[in-house]
Amino acid sequence: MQYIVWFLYVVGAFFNFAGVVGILRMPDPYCKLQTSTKNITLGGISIMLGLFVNEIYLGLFPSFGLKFLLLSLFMLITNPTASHVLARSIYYAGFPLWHKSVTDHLKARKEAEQRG
Amino acid sequence: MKNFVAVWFFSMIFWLLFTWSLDLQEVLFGLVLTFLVTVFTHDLWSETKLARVVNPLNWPVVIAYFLVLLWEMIKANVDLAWRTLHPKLPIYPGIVEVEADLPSDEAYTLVANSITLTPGTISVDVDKENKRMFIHWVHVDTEDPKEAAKTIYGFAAPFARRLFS
Repeated sequence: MQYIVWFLYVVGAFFNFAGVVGILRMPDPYCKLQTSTKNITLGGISIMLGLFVNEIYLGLFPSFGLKFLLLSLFMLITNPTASHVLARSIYYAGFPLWHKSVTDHLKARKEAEQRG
Repeated sequence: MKNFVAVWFFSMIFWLLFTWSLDLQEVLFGLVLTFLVTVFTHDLWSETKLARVVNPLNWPVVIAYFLVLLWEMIKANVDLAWRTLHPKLPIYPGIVEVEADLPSDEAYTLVANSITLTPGTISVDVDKENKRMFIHWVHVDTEDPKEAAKTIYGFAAPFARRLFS
């Protein structure tokens, strides 16, 4: 049982680390958002699940365990919403995509909206 | 009125789950706090289909959705972590237009959140009149709207149609 807990902690720490490295390495805000949202959501949920299993193992289940599950549920709902809002507002504020980007299909719509 | 009581009831249940105590002080404070929350938010719930998630008949679909989402998230995260830690940074990002023919606002929300959590994609904008979504993709594999729709949110669309049609 203890090994499952450690495994979940290590997985969570690894994904959080990858998320931070992504924030430092990625070239533009959109790609930074990609790593920060996805990796940190799964890393956080993994650590929460580790804590949950640990609570069952220590026999403290109802008091804390449920809170971790609820917290990971709320993280799952709020994190993608926040990053969607950030991405949309960065785009409409006029921040350009990375110069090596492949396509930009949203440009026409943005220009049409600015014309009125 | 019915709506108001339902929202108050469910926020109180969440309060009790979070505090996990039946101490008189905690319960009274929870009643006051959830009442305030309900006053400000109950009209958001009046014409939404999100309340269907609470119905026990829909729970099998919801649980299946969460399991599928978890699996997709793990795949996506391994892929993205590999891309970030790779010395050459193998990304070719871009914003792609994708077909999205979904029945309701709630279905759009569900699909957009699933998109943000899975392989290298973030939903940037939604055009409901033309049934299009604009998605930032870290590794653009295809620019065809239909094919991209299948690869990006193929797993989430059936659940969204089932729950919020």
